[in-house]
Amino acid sequence: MTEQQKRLSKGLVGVVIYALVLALPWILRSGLGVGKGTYWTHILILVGVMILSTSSMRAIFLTGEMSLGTAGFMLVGGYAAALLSAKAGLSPWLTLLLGGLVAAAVAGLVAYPFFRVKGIYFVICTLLLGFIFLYMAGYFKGLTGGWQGFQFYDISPQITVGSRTLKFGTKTNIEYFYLTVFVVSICLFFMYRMEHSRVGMVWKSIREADVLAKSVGVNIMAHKIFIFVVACFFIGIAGGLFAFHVHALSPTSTPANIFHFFTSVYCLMYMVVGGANSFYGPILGTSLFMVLRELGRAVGEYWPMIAGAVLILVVFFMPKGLVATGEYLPVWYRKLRGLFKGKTPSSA
Amino acid sequence: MDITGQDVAQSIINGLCMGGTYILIGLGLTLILGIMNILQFAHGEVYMIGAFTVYLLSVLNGVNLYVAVVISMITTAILGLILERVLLRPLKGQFLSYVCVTTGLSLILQTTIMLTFSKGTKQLPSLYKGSFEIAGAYVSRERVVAIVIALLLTLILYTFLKRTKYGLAMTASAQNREGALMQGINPNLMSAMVVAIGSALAAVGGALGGSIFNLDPYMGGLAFMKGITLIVIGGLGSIPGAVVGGLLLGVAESLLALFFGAQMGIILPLVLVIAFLIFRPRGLFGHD
Amino acid sequence: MALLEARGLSKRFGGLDAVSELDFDVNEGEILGIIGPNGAGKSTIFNMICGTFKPTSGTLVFRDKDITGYSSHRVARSGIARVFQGNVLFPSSTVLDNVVMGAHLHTRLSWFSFLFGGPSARRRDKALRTRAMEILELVGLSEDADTLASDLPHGNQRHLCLAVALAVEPKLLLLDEPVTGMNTEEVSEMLDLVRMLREKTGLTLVVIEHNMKAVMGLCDRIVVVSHGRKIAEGTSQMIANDPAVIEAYLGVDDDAA
Repeated sequence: MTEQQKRLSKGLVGVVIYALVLALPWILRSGLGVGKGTYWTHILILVGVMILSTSSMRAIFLTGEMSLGTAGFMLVGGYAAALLSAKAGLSPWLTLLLGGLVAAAVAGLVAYPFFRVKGIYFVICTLLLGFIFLYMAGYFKGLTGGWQGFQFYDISPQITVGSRTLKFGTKTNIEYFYLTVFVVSICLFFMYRMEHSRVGMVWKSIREADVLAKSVGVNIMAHKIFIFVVACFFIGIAGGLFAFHVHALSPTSTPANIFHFFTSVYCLMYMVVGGANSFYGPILGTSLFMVLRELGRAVGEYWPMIAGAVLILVVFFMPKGLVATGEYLPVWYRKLRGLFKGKTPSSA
Repeated sequence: MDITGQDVAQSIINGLCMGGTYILIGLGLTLILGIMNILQFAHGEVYMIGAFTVYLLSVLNGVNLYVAVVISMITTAILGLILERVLLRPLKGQFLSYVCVTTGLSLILQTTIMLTFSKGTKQLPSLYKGSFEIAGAYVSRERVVAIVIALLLTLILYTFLKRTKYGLAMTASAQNREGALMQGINPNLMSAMVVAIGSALAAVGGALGGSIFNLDPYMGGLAFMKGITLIVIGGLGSIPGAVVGGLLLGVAESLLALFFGAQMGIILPLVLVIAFLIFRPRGLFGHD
Repeated sequence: MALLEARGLSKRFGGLDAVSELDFDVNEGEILGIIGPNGAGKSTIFNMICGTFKPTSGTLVFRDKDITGYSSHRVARSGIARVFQGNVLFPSSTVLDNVVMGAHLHTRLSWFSFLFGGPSARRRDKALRTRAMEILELVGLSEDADTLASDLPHGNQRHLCLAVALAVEPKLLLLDEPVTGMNTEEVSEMLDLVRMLREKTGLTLVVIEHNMKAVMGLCDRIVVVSHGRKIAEGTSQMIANDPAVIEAYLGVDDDAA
């Protein structure tokens, strides 16, 4: 296969998958045995939001730093968007963007001091930052409604053409799903392009041998700050998307207590299990986990335990993540065969 | 609402006692981070399991409270040994893997405890009923006992580290791993010991914390945050640092809560931590 | 005006003076050697030039610009590159990519082109690769362009390190123990390569080495340091006969590598 043909076939696969994604709400209408009709659309929207967050987290990871502040920046973005719309009357389209910008601004403020400290301390800083945001949201009752939170049921992004208005956020949620897909796709596109450009190579050089990178002129601090700010921008947007979907925010927002730092940990898990080295890893990991969780509603309370166990197993047996299953299968197959033949597996 | 001097004194003393609990969590965390360079995300859950073990033994099975605490220390230490041997040792220094494995473990532990015990509030019995009066403030006896126990254990640990063969070996490993290797110190043994000891201390912390607050499977998360706060302020790998950090944290939280409300009592120390990380990463007493 | 001037350069770590009051010049086009017994402070000197450490006192002036205390990437931007001790490379990238990454300062990260990968971006990419291949040919690695850096044999990795540093297109190149751990054949190969580079590109080089024969044969001038201080300076002949130098090396083997 020539280079050209390979690229064409990859593109084709991509288009097919994308079309499938767009058709999902209709496919899942029947419910797949759990939930019916609009329920799955709601789940899909959440999956979209989390895919954006997880992929952004991975972008930071590409420079060799790990941020566990994802939940915190979602909170900032979501609250900023919702408050600006609810209290200042701005259009949700605008505030979605502004939410991202606010998150990015905060990230910019803390980035330089945070990156000056050793790796593990950076992780702690981001974790604590998320915690601080959470408590601040609860503290400033006048602004945010404190721990009870606030609601804004009338506010949704909408498009008005002539006398007809399309509101994103109706009972069926299908338009909101497409909105989510649209926004997330654009953000992912940016991240993909960055990773596969010269900038991405610079990140790779920082990751692999930062001393060498420095000595050939890479301004490591600038690059780390850059991607941190950009990633937090996207995470803020994810928060805004979430906000305009649920129409009610509180520090302990449902579903699943999303602004609690557990969410950052779950994002980490989705990334690692999906495959931290691949652009598609977070997408795969997030979708798989979140969908499985819904399907397995029966196991309900056991879920965190199962998730934790899966994470540990993946780290030990499939460190490259599910994305690399293709690589692991032949190895396992050989080992199994060796077991059955009663010998130790030889190098085939 | 006026705040009297008495309120302040009360607040300080309460803070010192809370500090005692924090110290016990922080000691394990700082040693593990200092010696193994691993941030043990499940340490808060170890603390929580220590508390629940005591609950299981003393409240549900009528075992004497002190005996229960000792048993809890032993079982938690064993849990720590298993954790080190099975989950940490094979990973050989890959940072992302440590974070993943320990957070995965914390999820497992939380869920296990949640499913094992019935819902509803639980609390460990008081160690001592009644209270003293110090400087016009009323202090419950159990809180004083809590801090005394914490400081006592810290002293024992400190003596162990500075006076015994294994303790010195551990300190050496913390400061220079290669050097320690060359002297024939077994790093695996060091790792195992430090996790076991750290876990046992956390268990006592859990028992103390559980007698002051309610037990809940998710109490580990907050405890972990306190532990981190304390070791950053006090300095990595430093025992005096952990003590000072813990006491400072307890008192600061208490006073801030008195003057600005409970929320600020939690937020401001965190801001302080970040400030420390930025301006004085080695903390008050740390090396590096 | 010398290319690089160090005046009063000092570095103190806690109570230890690693380098004290060091003065030396590096003249354009020359190969300067820095030698001295172990622990004499040679690597510290390089680290101060390259921005790994900030000098405690003293100045470094490069091409009439004060670069004292510059961070590593600014030093590179000023035109100084370094080949590190041991083989520091980007292990999971190909040989060609390593050199391309070395040319970082010559890539222009423009927004538009990276987002949409237009023809101008592709042209620039191609130019980078072509230039990288030229450098690989210079060091004799053009055959291995697509091999992973970590798969290269030790000797070739050394050449790759050199190629990466050359991609910076520096005016001054610092070689940190370039022939340590090599056999006689590899040593003379490397020395020939360095000499050839100097002739072809007019590069100025500073070399730290323990291998006496290599240093004597390669360097135009030599600076000898001991305990952080300069104890001698001159041509290899002058150094070989200098009593202070001989005393500093007393008991140390000539061919210590």
